Amino acid sequence: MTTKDPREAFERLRARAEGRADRNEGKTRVVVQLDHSSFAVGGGDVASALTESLPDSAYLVIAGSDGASFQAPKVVITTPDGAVKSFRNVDARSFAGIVSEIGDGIEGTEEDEVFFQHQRRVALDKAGAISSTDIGEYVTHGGYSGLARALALSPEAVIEEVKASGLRGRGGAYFPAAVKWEGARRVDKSPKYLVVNAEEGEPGIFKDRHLMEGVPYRILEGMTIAAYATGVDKAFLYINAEAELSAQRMQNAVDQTLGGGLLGGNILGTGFSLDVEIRRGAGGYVCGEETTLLNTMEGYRREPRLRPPFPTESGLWAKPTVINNPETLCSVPFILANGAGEFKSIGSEEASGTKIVSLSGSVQRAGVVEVPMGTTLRQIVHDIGGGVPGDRELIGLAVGGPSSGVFPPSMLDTPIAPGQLHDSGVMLGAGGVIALDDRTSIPAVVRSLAAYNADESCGKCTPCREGTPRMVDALDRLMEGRGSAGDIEELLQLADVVGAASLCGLGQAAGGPITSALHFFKEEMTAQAR
Amino acid sequence: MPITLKVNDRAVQVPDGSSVLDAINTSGTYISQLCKDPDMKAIGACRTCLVEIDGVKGFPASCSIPATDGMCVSTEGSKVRGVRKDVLQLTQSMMGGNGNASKDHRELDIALEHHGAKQPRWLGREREEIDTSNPIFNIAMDDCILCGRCAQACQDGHQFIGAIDFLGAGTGSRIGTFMDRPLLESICTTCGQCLSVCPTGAIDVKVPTRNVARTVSTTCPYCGVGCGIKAQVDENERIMAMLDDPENESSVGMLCVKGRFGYTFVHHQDRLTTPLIRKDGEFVEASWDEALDHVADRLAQYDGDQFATLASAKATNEDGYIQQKFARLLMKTNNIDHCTRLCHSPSVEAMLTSLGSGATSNSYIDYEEAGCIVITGSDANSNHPVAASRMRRAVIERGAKLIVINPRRIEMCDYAELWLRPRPGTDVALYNGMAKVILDEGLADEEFINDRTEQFEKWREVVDKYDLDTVEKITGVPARDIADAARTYASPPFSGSCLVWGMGITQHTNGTANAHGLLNLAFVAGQMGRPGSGISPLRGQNNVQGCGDSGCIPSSFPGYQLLTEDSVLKFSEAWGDEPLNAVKGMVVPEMLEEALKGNLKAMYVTGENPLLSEPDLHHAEEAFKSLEFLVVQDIFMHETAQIADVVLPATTFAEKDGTFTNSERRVQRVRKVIEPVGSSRADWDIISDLGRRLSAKRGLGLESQFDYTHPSEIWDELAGLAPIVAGISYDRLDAEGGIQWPCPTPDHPGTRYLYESDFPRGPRAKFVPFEQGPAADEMPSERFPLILNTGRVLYHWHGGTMTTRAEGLLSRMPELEIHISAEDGKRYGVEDGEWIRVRSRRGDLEGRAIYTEKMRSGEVFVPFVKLKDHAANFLTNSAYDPNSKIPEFKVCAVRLERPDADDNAGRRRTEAGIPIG
Repeated sequence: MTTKDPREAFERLRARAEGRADRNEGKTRVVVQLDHSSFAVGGGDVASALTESLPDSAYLVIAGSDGASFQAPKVVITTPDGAVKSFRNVDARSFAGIVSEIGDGIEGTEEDEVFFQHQRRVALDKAGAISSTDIGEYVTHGGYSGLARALALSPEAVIEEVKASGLRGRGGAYFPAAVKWEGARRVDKSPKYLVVNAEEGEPGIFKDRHLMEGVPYRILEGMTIAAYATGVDKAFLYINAEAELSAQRMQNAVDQTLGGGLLGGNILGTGFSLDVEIRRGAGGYVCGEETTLLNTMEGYRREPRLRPPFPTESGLWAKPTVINNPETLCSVPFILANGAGEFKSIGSEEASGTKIVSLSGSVQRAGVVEVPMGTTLRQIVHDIGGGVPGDRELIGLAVGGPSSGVFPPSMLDTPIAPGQLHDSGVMLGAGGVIALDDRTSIPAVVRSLAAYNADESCGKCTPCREGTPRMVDALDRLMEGRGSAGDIEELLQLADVVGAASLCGLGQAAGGPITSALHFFKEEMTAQAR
Repeated sequence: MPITLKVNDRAVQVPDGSSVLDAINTSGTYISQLCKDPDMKAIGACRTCLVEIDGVKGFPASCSIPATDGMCVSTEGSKVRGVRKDVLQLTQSMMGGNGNASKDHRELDIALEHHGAKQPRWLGREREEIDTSNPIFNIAMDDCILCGRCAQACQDGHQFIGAIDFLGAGTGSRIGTFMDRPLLESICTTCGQCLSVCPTGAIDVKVPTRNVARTVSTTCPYCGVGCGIKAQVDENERIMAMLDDPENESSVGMLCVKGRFGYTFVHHQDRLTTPLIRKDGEFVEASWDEALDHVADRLAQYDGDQFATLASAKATNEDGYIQQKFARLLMKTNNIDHCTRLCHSPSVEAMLTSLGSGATSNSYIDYEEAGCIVITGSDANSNHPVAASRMRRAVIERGAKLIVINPRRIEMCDYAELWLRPRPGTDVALYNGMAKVILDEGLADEEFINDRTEQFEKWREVVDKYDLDTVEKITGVPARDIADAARTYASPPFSGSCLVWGMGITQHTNGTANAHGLLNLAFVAGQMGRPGSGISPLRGQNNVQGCGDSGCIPSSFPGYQLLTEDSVLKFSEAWGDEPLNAVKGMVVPEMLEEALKGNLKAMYVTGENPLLSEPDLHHAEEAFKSLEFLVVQDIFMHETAQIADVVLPATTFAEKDGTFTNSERRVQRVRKVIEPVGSSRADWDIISDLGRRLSAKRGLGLESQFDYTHPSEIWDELAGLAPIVAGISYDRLDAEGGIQWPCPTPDHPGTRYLYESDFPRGPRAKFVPFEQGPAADEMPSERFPLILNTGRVLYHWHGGTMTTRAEGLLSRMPELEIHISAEDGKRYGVEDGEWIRVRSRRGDLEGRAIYTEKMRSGEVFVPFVKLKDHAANFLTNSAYDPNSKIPEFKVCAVRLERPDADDNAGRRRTEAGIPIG
């Protein structure tokens, strides 16, 4: 192992990247935000049209989304003099072909900028602004300085820094990241593995895809720091089977990073090595449950394992395994580059840092937003999302995903925080907020969430397998006017036993929509009951 | 360090590594535990063992929480009890939807009762249909709680077969097979491990067990693995079921289909229940006095080489000991042999020459710990199913490399790293070639060779001629595979290498040469004498090891004490100071030849059916018919008994006490489960009685030498005379379970593996070189273009005397299957499933042609069980290995014929057998 300072090696690497970037000096920069939501509304055609018609005086950058999905497809132009023009909802069919005339797009208004005003970008920093297919742009925009510093520290010091930052896991459980790393580091077994859980299978959550499509190199940087801190030399990126674009971007990023000496053998001349392999999800919500994920990686049925042993002791192929969410890892380079204090200054007293929220449903500005912990739901839905459109009325929010719960508008001032937001079963989870307006009804939403949980139950443990369909049955009886007070009682009891007795988190949280709805919306829920 | 914790405020002590559930069970407190089998890992699916633990949030499943010192566990808090009750009622709600709510659901019913929840709370949901395809047991999904124990037992919990697993998800989850086919069409071997662990009876035998009066632990009567079984008996003295025995160290809780379901022959109506004497050509029933006096009268007319006896490898050590004592002491002859002549005599011959002892050197646990297992000439899945499971455990759980060497594609190939497929009869060249690779590549264990072997250079000169090209030409095995196999065997990825073989090595005219080839391989690689290594000739019969140990071989007294002046004196003194014959006796093929010559006049055959198990049966029958007097002592009227002068009804393993010694040298107790059927008597009892009568008749005054009241007295006498088992007693076997010999003293723990520092023949093992000879005595010709290979099948035992009388087994294979390649089928115009005839120069048989990928073109396989009057040994060749006298069962030349060719009268049959088509 060499003992050269990795920061020097990194500075040389950055200088080279900047040298390459200088070749575009004096040219107009055309950034097309090409992510999965953009593709869905013709972004691919916009990119093709731009490529064909691009004059020599301009260069094209393929980026991910900046989170403003409501604006997709979005193109941002920066002229050599530094003037920035942004075009949203660009239509390729009427696209004129000259950069200065991306006229059929709507030029950004100040109102659109409100979307970004209340956000604080850490994980999503520069997403949509820099290339997601060229590592050089990430490096010249500050990328990998966190890794360079981390490699100059001891692994223990890296863990200390992360511990001091107060970073908690962003997958939904909010377990202190440094404690998990420490646990794995302490286990005296090798090899050890790092697995990045990018399964993100639940409806209403799409943040990990945005990270993989927008800032893939940041995920790799975070992984490399985590691997260094925990003593891992083999990492796996487990990507949802349907997130094809994410997998492509990540594979491209891995290939480029390997070429750049930032992955593979002897990273930044330190002797530290990391191999990253991409695995695709096996299909199904439960695959995001971390032990289920491990089972599927090993080729077994998609069902959870018993804990203990915990994955940090005996995970993938019975080896110590650290499992982190991409969002968690995307905060790590910031912490190492800027220090734990800087990170801790973001967010609330109890919960430092930011949280990415997948904002959808009935809002004017849907997309991916990153806000400091402690931000209220009102700020997210109204200030950032612009509230429900037109003359619709907000009837509630589905927060946290299918196994969390529903809030009435009266709870809008609840600040987001790790874990439980209300003791009726509402949790922040992986950070989904779906705004519901008067075109739907709370019972219909709850029934839909309950049915989702029953459908996704893997079938391994009795309470979840047998209990979740019986909850749906009882909801059906209530909604179809066949129900009684006994059904309310049964629902509560089922939610209780399924929550208390189930093997994994999916079952343990499956009662959330029902308990929270019966708490906040008892009248609506029982309106049809006899 | 034991752990102390509290369960419901009562202190409990459990060993380190125990779970909280273990602690609860140890405390005697009842808690429901539907998915946790006592002998398998926690699954955690049923969620009925939830508890409260001080300082732990929620209600953890006690099966999956390690017990720790000072823990306070409570099982009966009202909240946790309520949660368990709700879960149990949800479990209950899976049943009854198909209208069978009244069925006894065993462990579930007990759990519901305990929680005061017998009354169903929900209507049952509709479930899948019952799979009734297996002839022995059903899988009834509407009684299934999806606990997963059956799939676990089929997979890494026990058997490593993997026939069943969960299919579907959510409420659509069910137990099923690959591609959701009926169980009978899957790879299921009907071992029944699944039903043994089912908590609700969803998987159960078609006629459920009832009214168990008692359970007796004993040892399985089928193969040499020696599994522990627990017989359940009803008040009518009928065996209702055989359970596996988790305490047994050889079988560790497993059984195969024969062990679990093959016991019904014990109660079969065909059992011999009374002595029979042939009078005027017909058998007439006789009293024991009449029959034994008659036998004594007749045998008094013969002695020395006029008499020979065949002992039974199915009988106990005590039975065998008495039989050899009878022959040596009263008939003055060492003419005693048994079926080992037909199975492992070449292995024993080679091991005696090279090592000085003819036993397996290691234990089944060594297979589990090995880094490489080479299994050659053995279809372990069919013949030693539980040993095969332990090998699969090594491969699947520990990543051991399995190398299969076999002309047939046996099922173990599914788990193999490498499969070598030599031409039949070319093993010597193959092992010499592997040895040369080991030598040439510097993989030899120099230290072992230098310090612990002799004749290395002489052997090396021979082996040097077997370069890979030459060996590939002889064997047909690609040179690269030979080299890979040699490398893996000599340098396994971890631990050591085990060499395992069966009849495919021995039943050849090259048998002894083959066995030496394997021993030489073990020597050159130094793969013996430590854990995870060793040599294992897998023994076929339940007590073939013990039959030899107890002296039923013509060359030595009990404990392999050769017929020397000293040993003759020792046994003479022990047996009433009567002079003994010191001349080595005859082996089985010599007996047949001497009978044909008229020199051998009387035989006493116990528990063997040579007229089915000998090769070239027409020839064997001629030999037996030329005897003046033949006594057969057995449990069924079989081919040999039918031509006997006296037939004596013996008891089965289930009706007597004694010991069996299995393939890993483990002496295990056989316990009397039921009273003898009819007036049958145990072999030791019959022969002792006869011995007293004959002694009196001859006026020898040796009656007291045959005066025993219990087999334990016989064992004590045997142990007193045979140092290898001197430390073993019934008291120890009852207290400790089976003990592996050598066990020289009462405080000796028994021996897991042999040859750690020296060998019975001295400090050095001996390399014995052999050249590849002609592949076989009889090779294919124009008239007989195919090579016949014989062997066993999972569902039958040897000739089938027992298994064809166990309906469950017979229904899995009621007729002979003739395995051929599809290529040969097309070439000779034989359809898949067609009833055809196989003919050799010596005879013919008929059976059902089965196309299978297991067979290579040019080769035919027929199991040697007799089904519907057809048996392979009408075809086989009696040519034998000159060193061990084993017949060449594994190779002879045959052709296929269409039975309806007979319609053209015998003429066409006698015409030079033109292959059909």
